[in-house]
Amino acid sequence: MLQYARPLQRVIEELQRLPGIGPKSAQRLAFYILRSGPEAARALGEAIGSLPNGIGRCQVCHNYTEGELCPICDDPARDRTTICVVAEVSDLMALERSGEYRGSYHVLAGVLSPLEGIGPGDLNIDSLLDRVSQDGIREVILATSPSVEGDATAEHIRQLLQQYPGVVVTRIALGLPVGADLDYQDQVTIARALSGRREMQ
Amino acid sequence: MHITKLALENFRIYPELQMEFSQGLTIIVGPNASGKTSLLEAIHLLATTKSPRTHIDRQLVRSGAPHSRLQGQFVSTQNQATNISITLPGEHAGEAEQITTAKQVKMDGAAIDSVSQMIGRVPVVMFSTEDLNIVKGSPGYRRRFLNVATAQLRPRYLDDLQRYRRALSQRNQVLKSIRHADAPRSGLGPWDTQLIEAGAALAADRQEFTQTLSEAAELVHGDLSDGAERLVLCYRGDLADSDDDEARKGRFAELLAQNEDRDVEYGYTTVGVHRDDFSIIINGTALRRYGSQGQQRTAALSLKLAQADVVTAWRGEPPLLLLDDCLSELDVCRGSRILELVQHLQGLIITSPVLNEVLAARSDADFFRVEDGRIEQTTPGAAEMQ
Repeated sequence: MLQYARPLQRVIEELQRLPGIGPKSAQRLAFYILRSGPEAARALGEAIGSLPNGIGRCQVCHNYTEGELCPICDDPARDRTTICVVAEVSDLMALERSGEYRGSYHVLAGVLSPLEGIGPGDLNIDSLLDRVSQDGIREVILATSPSVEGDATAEHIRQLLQQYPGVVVTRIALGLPVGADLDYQDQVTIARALSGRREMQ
Repeated sequence: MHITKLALENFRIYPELQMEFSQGLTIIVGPNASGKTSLLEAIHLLATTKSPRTHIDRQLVRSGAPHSRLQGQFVSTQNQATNISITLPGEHAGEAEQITTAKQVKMDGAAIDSVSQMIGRVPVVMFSTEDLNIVKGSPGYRRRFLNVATAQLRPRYLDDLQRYRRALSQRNQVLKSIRHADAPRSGLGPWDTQLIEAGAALAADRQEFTQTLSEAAELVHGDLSDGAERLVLCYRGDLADSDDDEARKGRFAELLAQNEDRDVEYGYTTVGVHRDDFSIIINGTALRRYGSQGQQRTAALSLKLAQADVVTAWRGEPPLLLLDDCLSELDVCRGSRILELVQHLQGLIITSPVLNEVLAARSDADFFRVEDGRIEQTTPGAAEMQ
């Protein structure tokens, strides 16, 4: 079988290890990089290569940061009495984009999943409890996804937070996406939104 | 609900097939292994995205073909048409570049990525000879029947079932790590909560469905047995004796706590709705153990006909009923009674290896003859002669 030239083959193999990239996408990307010239290729390589050096985890919330504290924990305008607990940094970014939330975050770096060998000790839960015990926290919002694993993780944290009776623990709501027609929603979403209905004031 | 058009490409033994159906009764006659059941299977697959015979889609693709395509048009009693098409990859799908390796389902041209979007849109009930297992077989067959039937009626049911199964595997994994690696028992708590939540919902739906089905089946079976037999269904399981959501959750929590030591020792969860069953009782006696073969066969058919009645009542749309070879072992009198019971349905397809007198007498029906993957429309007289 005909093989690609060695450097090309190596790039294809490395790209293939990325999530969502199969052999064909990897091949297309590799050809694109090759065609876009040495300057662009070098810039891309450098950006990727220096990624681990420049970035660490925020000491408070475990968000990615260049310094000791992430921009959110470093911002004095943020409400530090409210902590929103998310599974991943990408979830934090999604909440930030809403522009609605002015409190702080806590990134667990995963959800409980014994089948994948992830137990409570593998998540940033101890540091969350430290924060709650020290900082005069008023509310903890559990914003893990509504999957079985996300719900179980929220439930686990709720149980642990019971030892702080002054702290209100809330769970983000499930429901219909905004701006979409009810008749286009799948039936499970509608059923769950219906069971989570609330009285209008 | 009835089907108006069916087109198959490389499905089972059919290289290519196009069929049109009219409203009412369709009778398909052909020798064994001629492809009758595959036709009903294709219709069931289009309506539900699932084959009633196998969960391995590759087996449905004609041997050697890269993929299989199915298309069907279904029309409701409100005269609303739903077009569904499914593409199934075959054994070698990955090798041919332009063919994807995943099953693709489209409803009215739009891609469907979750089964729950389609559930209940095209209600269908199929009876095949394998359904005798619902009466005779292990509890697993009856749970499968409950799951498939209830999921068609309650879209949320499938979601609860998937959540339950997921939480159960996670909990079992924790049990194993407690046993082998001395993990703390507190790790069970979050999974217990998920299991209890989904389990109580499943038990409630199964309880209600079994009760409704029992009432419908009693009527149907009474009719089929000349009033001699009274058929009753009874939902059985760890949460079957609880009457409301609170009681079910309380009971489940209690059982999980009581059996925790044993669960840890075995490394899996020994209580819960994954062990549910229902018993089928005729004149006070459990049919599974004491019924005759004929009695069991008639009861299996009664359950399916009753299921069609429940679908009609709950969804407001009578299902398309597919009866695979159900009359051949019944006497003439029972056979014609079955046809009377289902004649109100808008869509009914019956297959049979021979054209018996009950079927031949139905001048209102469309007749087809199948042989070696070829199908042709015929008349009762001509079909009889062959």
